[in-house]
Amino acid sequence: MRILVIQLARSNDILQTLPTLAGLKRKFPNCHIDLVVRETFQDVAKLFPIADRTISLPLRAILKPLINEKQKVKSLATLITWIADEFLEATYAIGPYDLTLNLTFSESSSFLTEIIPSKERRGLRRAFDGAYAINDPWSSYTYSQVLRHNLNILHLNDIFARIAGVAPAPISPVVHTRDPGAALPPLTIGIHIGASHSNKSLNPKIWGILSQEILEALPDAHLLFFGSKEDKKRSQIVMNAINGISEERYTNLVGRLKLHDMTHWIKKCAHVITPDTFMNQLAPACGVNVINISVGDVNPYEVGPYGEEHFVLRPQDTTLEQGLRPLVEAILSIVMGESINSEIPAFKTKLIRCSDETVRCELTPVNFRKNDIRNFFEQAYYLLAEFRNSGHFEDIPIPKLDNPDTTYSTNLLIASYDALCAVKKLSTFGSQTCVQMIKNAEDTTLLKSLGKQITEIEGLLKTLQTSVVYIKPLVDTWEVAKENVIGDSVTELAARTEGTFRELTHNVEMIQELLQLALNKNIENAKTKQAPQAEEKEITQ
Amino acid sequence: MENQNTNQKTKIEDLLSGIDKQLLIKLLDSLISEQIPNIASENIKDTK
Repeated sequence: MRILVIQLARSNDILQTLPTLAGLKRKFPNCHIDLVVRETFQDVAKLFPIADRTISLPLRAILKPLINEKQKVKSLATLITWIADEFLEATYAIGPYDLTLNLTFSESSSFLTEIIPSKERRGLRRAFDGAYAINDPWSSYTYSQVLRHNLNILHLNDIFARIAGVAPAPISPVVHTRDPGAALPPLTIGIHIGASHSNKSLNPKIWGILSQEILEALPDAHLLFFGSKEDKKRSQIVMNAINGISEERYTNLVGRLKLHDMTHWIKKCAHVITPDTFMNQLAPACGVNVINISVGDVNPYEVGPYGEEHFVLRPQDTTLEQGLRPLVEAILSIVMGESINSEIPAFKTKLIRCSDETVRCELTPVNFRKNDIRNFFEQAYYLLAEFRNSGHFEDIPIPKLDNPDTTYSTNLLIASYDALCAVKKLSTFGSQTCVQMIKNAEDTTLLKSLGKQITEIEGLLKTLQTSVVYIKPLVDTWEVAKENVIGDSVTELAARTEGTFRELTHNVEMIQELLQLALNKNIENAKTKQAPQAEEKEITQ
Repeated sequence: MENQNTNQKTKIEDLLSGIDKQLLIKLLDSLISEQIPNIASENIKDTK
């Protein structure tokens, strides 16, 4: 079995793809896997020798003639030569791939997926007319929920593995045995100050004060600072903040390490504190616990540390005045193994074994309670996805809706329920309209009028999609399904569109059913609480 | 040398015989558009 995996995104995406490759190897021990990555990030793939062959996309060589000489034809020739050498020659000799998994979700990757001969393709693809195309359910889920920032609680590692139809397996880097110099104490803590964008990391002044506070509170601790060459200036600010502390207590490695050396140093740490998605994946692969300071526009459910017993801190305020003290308190509590009393929301990671032998990484709140309504819809949409995409009910409890006690929460719940009813009516109407189209496929005047009706239904669904947050995942799912409808005739198109409306109706019904179950449970609980009080009253009387 | 180039060209043409050429052009165009933010006038920073 020959499998091609395409991952043309950044280093962290490659790290999030590798557990799927390990899962494929575990499920199909004799399979041959080719992994395509961009040349710039090939070191990441090579650090984990899971793929049988790592193929680098030479983007520099391809684009250079275009940029330097305005020679697009030369760029095209370089690209074609690369495709012919790396893929087509082997296809010519031994046949197409058995399976191509495009886990990139970028336009270029979808064209590459379509070009390389393969018997089966999953992930983002292209239809014959050039429009984007997705044919497998978990890729559709990624496109409609992850890329559209919906209420997704599944980790990307788990989603990628589901696209491949395997359980994600642990990965471990090849570590060079270069001695890092002086022996480091057991309480060595890594601090990774960089991130892909500065708004996804802390201000270097805060890193400086944070480091100083850790060193003062933990006299046995040694800090290792990690970061790329681009973080060197920022690291200098951090070093200035701790220059009153003995240099024996910290080591600045920012911008000094190549990737394979970095893993060697990471393994020396008891914890790594990081805001960065890449380190979130690398440190657990090295067997080190992560304290992820999740800031900016990232979803820690999707890109947080993967595995058991890691922590995610989600500060709302990262200013020096207000946010620093609780952040220090939370980090020190975690390092010292104490309960977290800080006001910063903290999550702990846990691997949950699912009913179909796969796993998922769950983020559990440690020191706070999630908003009941948000929690309900997050879990309800997860259950719906597992049922729709993998064909089974996941064995987690029915989502709770314990006490939507504030007026805002109650109003939001009512608005969401009303919107669910409206979506159901619209989808039923859409379904009926499509059936009318199938029945009257020869009547062009009626078809025109029915087509207009469908456009109006779509418009109303889009209004709900943008105005009711907890309905958006449902309408997004339907929209992606509808955008992927193809057909050669009016009848075929209408039949497939009817299928998307029907599925939307069923999805609404499932969410409504879960909501009803949660509310019934809530009423039962309220009755149980009231019963002893009533008894007490009788006795007093 | 000329013979070698001709052979290489024929070989690539053979290999590409079943491939939609429009897809190749679209692939290049999308690689360019995805890299535009990172393309400096003199050099290419493949860091998207």
